Amino acid sequence: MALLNSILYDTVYHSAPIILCVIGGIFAYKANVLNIALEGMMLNGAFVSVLVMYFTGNIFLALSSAILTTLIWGLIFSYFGVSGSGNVIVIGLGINFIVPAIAKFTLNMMGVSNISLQNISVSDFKIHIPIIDSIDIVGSILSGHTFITYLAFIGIIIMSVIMYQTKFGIYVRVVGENEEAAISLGLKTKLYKYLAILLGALCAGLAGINLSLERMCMYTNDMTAGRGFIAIAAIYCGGGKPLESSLYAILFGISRALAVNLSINAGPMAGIFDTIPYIIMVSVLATVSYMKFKNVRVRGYTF
Amino acid sequence: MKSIIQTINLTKKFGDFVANNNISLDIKEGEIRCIVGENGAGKSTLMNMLYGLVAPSSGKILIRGEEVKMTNPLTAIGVGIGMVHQHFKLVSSLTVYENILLGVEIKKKNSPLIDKKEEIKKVAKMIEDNHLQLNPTDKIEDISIGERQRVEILKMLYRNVDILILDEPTAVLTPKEVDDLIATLKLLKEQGKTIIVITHKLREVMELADSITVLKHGNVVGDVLKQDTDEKEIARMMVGRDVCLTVQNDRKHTVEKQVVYQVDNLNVLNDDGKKVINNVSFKVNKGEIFGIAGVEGNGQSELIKVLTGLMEAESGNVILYGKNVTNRWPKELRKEGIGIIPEDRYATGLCREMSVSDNCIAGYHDNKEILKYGLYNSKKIDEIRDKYIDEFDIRLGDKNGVIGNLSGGNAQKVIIARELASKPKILMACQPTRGVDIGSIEFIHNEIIKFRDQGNTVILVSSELSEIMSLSDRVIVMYKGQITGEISPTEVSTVEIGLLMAGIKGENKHEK
Repeated sequence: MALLNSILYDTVYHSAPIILCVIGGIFAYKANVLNIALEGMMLNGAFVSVLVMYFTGNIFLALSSAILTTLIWGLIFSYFGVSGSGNVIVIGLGINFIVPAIAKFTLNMMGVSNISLQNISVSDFKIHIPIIDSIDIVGSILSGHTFITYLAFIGIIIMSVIMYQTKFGIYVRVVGENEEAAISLGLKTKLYKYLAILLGALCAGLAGINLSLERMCMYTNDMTAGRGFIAIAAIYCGGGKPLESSLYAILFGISRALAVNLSINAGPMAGIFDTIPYIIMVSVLATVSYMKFKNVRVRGYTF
Repeated sequence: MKSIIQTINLTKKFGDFVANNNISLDIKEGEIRCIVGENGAGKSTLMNMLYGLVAPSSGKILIRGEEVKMTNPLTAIGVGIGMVHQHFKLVSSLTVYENILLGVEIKKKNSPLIDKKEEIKKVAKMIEDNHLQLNPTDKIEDISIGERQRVEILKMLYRNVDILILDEPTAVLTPKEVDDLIATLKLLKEQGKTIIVITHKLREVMELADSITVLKHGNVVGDVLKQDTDEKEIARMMVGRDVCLTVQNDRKHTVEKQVVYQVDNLNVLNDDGKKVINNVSFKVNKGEIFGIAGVEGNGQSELIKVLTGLMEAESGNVILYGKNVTNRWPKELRKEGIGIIPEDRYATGLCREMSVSDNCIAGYHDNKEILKYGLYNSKKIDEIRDKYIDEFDIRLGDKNGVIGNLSGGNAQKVIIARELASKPKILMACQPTRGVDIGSIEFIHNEIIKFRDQGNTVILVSSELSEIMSLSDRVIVMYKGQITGEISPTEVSTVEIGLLMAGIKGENKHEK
């Protein structure tokens, strides 16, 4: 029972950063500039927030600098990818390589292998929701998470509304689906691509802060561990729809919760369970693709 | 009448190429002006300049007597010019009303959210006011091409334009939809709108226009009132020589009663598992042109995809000269002696980014003449290309360039040259003259007839009823995936075919 409880709590815990990347990333996906730099941007948020917190001890400064620098990566990505019409995969890969490199370099210069914060502790970030907290099992699963974790789940609704009920959402979808239609009506297509990418960067930055500062009060190298790519898989599986894609994000959250909890009890076999999220990702991707094209009778798929 | 649009010495150059040369137009308020010309005559460039999509190299545009610098479509819409493009600029996953209001959405009071109810109400009223058939909440991907065009027209009307430019509006419409469109445009004219129609279809020009401007190689070569001219004269101005508008089809040759191609109980499902071809059977004799008619979207497209190996059938047999060739791939079908002119030139017929030579051997890569020890003989391939260019009068700027630079008619001729060169026994011609200029249409029709007269067989699918009727020896009509009747084009009127196309079976009439 304790194990199940712990798995469910961890599901919420591990889903949050992936959901954030998903609900931010769907806008760029819909605008047809798939942001594969989510991974690097998330790592940037994780690194900068902890670094600034370590040196200044000022939480406000830590958060704002993390978000600002992530947005700068977003701008760089947009500038080369949208204004410069560069290949977004190459640019994204570049960011994914350079961010961890900068972080490793900095840690090296500081002469440490990871940054552990002493001036703040994990429990400072945990928020207990008054009524829910007192409910028996539900309370222990849903309550006691950090602010950004809650924000991630609320964000699913917010992003759904933005995507389907506002001009911004419609324009982003139009730009991605039929850019010429947008141009023929005088819409500023590049602007919407920039905004879509920056929205993704903002969310990825928050996901990074959640991962390092909020949950662990520490930064270790490569701590995002492919969550940005898992988010891209979730976006793809859910067809860029906020709710569906988030459900896939939660599925990957479950698999990580399983991996973590099972490996605690597994002794020397622990390493095997770490592969669960990745195995699930590959199988889900393959299944979704198969289902999509199962009934296609036209040869060549591209019709 | 007052002038509403004037252009003075409007010129557009793309590098050294002069697309429009000193064009001076004078369009009057409340008239329907048809701008005609062959593909590549510069019609679209001219209209794109009026709509602010292309900036002129020199010259002036005057709207209601005042000079306007068209910098983008918003300027054009601002002075009351709206354009319906040939390739619709619609977003297929959005609904009709969302497309119409794209960019001018109505927001709820004091909220960033869109007021969908109000939008639907407004669009529904517009549809009613203009006597159109449309459902505002349908998604674009679910509606027909004719309906999509109405959405485009409404999109412009919503923006209060009083000048409407339509680029090749009838190119993809069925005969009935063309009639509806002509009625709509005349209605708009009565409401005081000025309408400019770009087209190369002369029948519509004569039905629609008040005045006609003819373009050729970027120059205005004719500016006439409709009552002062006729189809023949306009065709002569467009092409620069006399054009035979009716096909010379001598059906006196003998059709041998030898079945060479046979389709038995063919069933085809689409991606949603819906039956799009329902138990279709027919036999084709040696030496005949066998036409398949029908309103677009009634299964002809899927049928030809299956017959040319682009799609798989669920059940049924296709028999060629006694040999079962069901669900074979295109390469095998070509080996069995089937020449394939596909429906969509650039999707399945040619590779736009590759050279003319590469396209001349596409589908015939195993040809021993050009392939030795796994290596291609590029000299030989270029010879083949030059032969095609000569024999089929293919006109192109750069022989070594990519095929995407060729006009529709010339690109189509490359396909036909390639498919006929392998001396097939059966030619599958699907929309062989879609988006092709008049001169090339004449040429292609003659090639098809010549091929038949050599004792070969042609299966012809076309949404141009006149094409089917003038070429075919025998015609079947399809409706909702089934054959509704077989007719002889020399004995049957267009009205009767129209009934078959609408799903009213011919046999029933005879029984009564």
